[in-house]
Amino acid sequence: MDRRDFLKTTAMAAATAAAYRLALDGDSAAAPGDGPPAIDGVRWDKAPCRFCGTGCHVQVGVRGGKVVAIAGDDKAEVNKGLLCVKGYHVGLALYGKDRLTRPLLRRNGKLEPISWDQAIEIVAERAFGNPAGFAIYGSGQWTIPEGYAANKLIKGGLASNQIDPNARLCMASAVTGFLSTYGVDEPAGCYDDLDRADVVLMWGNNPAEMHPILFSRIIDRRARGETVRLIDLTTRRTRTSGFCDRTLIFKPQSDLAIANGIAHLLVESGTYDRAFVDQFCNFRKRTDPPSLQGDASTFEEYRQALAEYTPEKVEDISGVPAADLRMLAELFGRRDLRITSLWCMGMNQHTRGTAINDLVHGIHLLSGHFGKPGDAPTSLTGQPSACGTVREVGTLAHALPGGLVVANPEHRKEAEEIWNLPAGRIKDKPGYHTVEMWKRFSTAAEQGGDIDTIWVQVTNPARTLPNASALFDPSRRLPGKFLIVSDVYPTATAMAADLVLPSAMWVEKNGVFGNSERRTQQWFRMVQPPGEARDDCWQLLAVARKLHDKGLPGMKDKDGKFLFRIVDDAGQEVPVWDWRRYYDVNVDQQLFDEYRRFTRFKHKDLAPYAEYVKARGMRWPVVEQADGTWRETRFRFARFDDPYATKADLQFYHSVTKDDRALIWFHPYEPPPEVPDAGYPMWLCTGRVLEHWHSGTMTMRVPQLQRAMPQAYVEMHRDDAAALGVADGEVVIVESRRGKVEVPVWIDGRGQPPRGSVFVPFFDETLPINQVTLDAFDPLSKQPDYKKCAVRVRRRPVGTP
Amino acid sequence: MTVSALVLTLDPEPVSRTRVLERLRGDARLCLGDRVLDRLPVVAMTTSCAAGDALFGELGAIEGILKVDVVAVDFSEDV
Amino acid sequence: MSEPRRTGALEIGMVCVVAVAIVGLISGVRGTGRDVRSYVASQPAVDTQVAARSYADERAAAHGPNAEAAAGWFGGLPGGPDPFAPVVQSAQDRADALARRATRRAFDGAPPTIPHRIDQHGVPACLTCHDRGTTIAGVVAPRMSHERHDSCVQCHVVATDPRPGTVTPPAPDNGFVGLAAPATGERAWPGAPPTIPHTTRMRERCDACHGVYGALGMRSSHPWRASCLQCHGRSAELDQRAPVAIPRTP
Repeated sequence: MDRRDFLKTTAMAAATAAAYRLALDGDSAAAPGDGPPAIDGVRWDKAPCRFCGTGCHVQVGVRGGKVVAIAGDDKAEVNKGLLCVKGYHVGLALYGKDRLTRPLLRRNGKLEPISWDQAIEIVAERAFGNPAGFAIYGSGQWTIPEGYAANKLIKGGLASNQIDPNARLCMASAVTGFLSTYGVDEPAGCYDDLDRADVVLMWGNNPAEMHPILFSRIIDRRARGETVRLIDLTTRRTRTSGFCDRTLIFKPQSDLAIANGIAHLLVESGTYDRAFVDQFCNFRKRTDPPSLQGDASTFEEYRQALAEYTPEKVEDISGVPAADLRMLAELFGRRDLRITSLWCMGMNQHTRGTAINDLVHGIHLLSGHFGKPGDAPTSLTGQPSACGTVREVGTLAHALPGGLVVANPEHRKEAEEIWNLPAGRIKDKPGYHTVEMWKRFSTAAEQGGDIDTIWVQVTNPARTLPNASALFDPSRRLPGKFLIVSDVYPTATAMAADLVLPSAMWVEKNGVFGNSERRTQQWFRMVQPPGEARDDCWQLLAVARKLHDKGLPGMKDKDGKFLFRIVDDAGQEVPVWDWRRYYDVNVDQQLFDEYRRFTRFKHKDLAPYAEYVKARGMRWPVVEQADGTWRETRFRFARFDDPYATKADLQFYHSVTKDDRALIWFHPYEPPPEVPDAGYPMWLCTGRVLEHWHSGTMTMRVPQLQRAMPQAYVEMHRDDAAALGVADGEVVIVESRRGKVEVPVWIDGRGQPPRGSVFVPFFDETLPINQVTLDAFDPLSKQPDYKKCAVRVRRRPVGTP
Repeated sequence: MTVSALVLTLDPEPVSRTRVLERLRGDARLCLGDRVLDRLPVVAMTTSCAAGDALFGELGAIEGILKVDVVAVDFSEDV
Repeated sequence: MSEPRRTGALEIGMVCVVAVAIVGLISGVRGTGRDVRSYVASQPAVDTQVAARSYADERAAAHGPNAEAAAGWFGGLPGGPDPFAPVVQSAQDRADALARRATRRAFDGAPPTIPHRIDQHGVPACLTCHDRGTTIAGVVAPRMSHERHDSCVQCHVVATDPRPGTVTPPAPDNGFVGLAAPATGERAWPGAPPTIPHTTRMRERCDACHGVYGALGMRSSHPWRASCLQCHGRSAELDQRAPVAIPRTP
């Protein structure tokens, strides 16, 4: 080798190494040489898991531009290095062979490839033509910057408030429960409670499958010799039940009666915490129609209202023995125990969801099991950023970022100031909530269906809306209705769309999520999206710019500048609507730091973006210290930890009653809107399984997960199966008044329903159980009830293949 | 002789990319490496430092090349 | 051309270091690169489904890798293999063991799938066999490689359809190519104890793979020695114990 060849080889090696780094790090604007080190050619970096609301951190191993391995992140406080089976396989979710790689437009009934320029033009045309009828249906899987951009586009740009997320279907009742009790959303406690609680009470919750990391965090304490008592309040035996000291099976909807029964016993036996109640609580009763504020009430009124909920009467309603109700009340009556309540969809997907949330908070307040580590009522969320992107960014039809609402003129003014908009731009009337939005989209314009375009991002409403044959399917037959879907796979929704936009997912883009314990988590892009797939956030910004160029006035602020002005270090505007320039700067950072300004109003303070780069997430309020560091808050409202609680040991500083007190509500037990009868004699409950997440669009493409649970099933009691004359594996018809689905029977199944009830998981797109479910919803949260409706199970006619 | 190690950032648009690659392959001064996603490592051999700088400008002006990063330059054989 | 499209000389010094490392790799100074191959493609075929049956019939029904187990349930529990027996194993044994291992995980580091049926509800009795490891009628139930976690099925799922009597839909097509297991550790000189080429996270119990119940080809020649880390060095980087890197500025 002569000297020149040597120089050439060396130069090529240097150039190739640099090309790898530049290509895989995302952009050359990032400061060089400070990424994580590569080991054996594999570069590892942090990211929160893509799936549930637990918010585990994973380490993502990347080589040659592809994800090749996943490990638990040892430095993450949430999961301490452990993951669940979905988390370990999250990297495979990127590589299903049928990723969407080109924009597709429906022409003559067929989806055909078009260019991005054409696609963005079509979306903009729909919004430009009828801004008021253009809605965005978003997601608790949106990143915070994505949701923030969509929210600003609709509320600050199109000035219509027509935006709502799928999280309406999963945690809206938890939100209304927190608002009506504390005056401000999201749990006061955090996962640290699980390390300290003596008793963990699960209300219609199956964390062994749905939040496995939190569940093992609790039960692994037993392996270390600690004592923790687990009590399972449930409508069917689940994997969680197997680990519990007691499993109390109750009749659907009777959780309201159980909660009142516990409160009744606490009050009557005098074991409630009088000092706590006197100092920190007020009482509240319902108004008609119901409201989040309610009417003032007194302890005496509360006591009288509870009087009828004797253990015997509650046993009648719920089926839970009176002795067990007394056992629960005795636990709450003890001051020497720390008690944490957990719940998720069981209490939230409930036509009295706000009420049951209020009642469980109420038991904790009444008994003083609140505000000390281990003593907490804690709602869990199902989606990775339902808290971050929906509840905090306010991507709901009535909300603005930071816990502000459109109905409040002060709040609108604050938002207009931050967004530099002319006064009056933001409208005071909330948009349509999810069920209403889709109802109007599935109704002809002349019959009042005033939503004519819905842009869906990061969710699958064709399979997840309740009573889908009424809320989703008709829109696909009505002229003038246009469905736009941004997704990564050909989901049932994407395949029904008029325009499909291929999206980047997870570590193919920068992102920020917010988990169930107020923890905000950031990650960087690590690999390139396939084909022409592009970030959801870019799609929103590109459409906004197209509308700007078309002359839509809302796309400019009051100084005539573009609504989404992204600048470089020198302050020059970067045309990020041009995809080639999108990663010239960190768009996420600029949107996040703008959004941050909203978070101080309700004491949900976030740190600057750069702080989250260094951390495995931080729990808000994150407050700057005198030395310039940023400190997270684990226990909200508690003086020993929350910097905003200064006046007393506990200070509910957003109290509805403006006196720093929380509210203890009374709500009566009310029967559900549909109960089994002669025609439809069984209860149907729906839900998830460990291996799958949401409607299975990602997890069903991961071989290890799909093989472990390849298809939906109907879980039945052995005696019901015998009475019906069906064997394991036989395909039967499960039908309600709204629709039907054919699924194979699994006697007992993954869980074990009591006689007279069946369970069908919703992960399987090919067996859409939401054709069967009920679309009745809670009057305050507008969240539908997927957990109970009346069905019948039939054998198929003889001769059916 | 000046030896420069460069990384070119190519336009993701397939048609433009093909056109650019054809053009670069036809340039005797350049030796192309294996492309990594949208980045192409390139070694440029020019008669002088000035010629190298001119080539740098030339490459940057080509439609379909979004960026030119200079990784390293060897001047040891410069006249 | 316009100025913003140019990027100046890029931290030449740093890249030179990288370049030297790359050149080093090319010329073979280091030899411990890992090869990548598809773990997904080499999954075993799905077992044919067995018909539903009652608990009483279960004992008589042989199926899966544990088919022979019913004949000698717990027969292997007392005693166990002799740790002092000489270990005779070949490079081929090792290759076979790694290939078999790869069929049960998506990538090196993924939790292995379960090759036999389990109780789908309640608390699975995994630890009965996998806490210490055992042989049941010739089939090895390896010791679990990590400290005790009680919710085993949180990470380990069955490899075939758990629903009795149903027709299983085909597996999805996925292009993921997983990181393969590393070949061997480095030895400072012939005869020196090799370093540990993989992470020891979730693999604190070396004997799970390298002890008497380990697959032939991966076994230690001296399984009676219990303090493995005394001689075999771990990698701080692989174990996420390396000093905290300065994070990338955004």
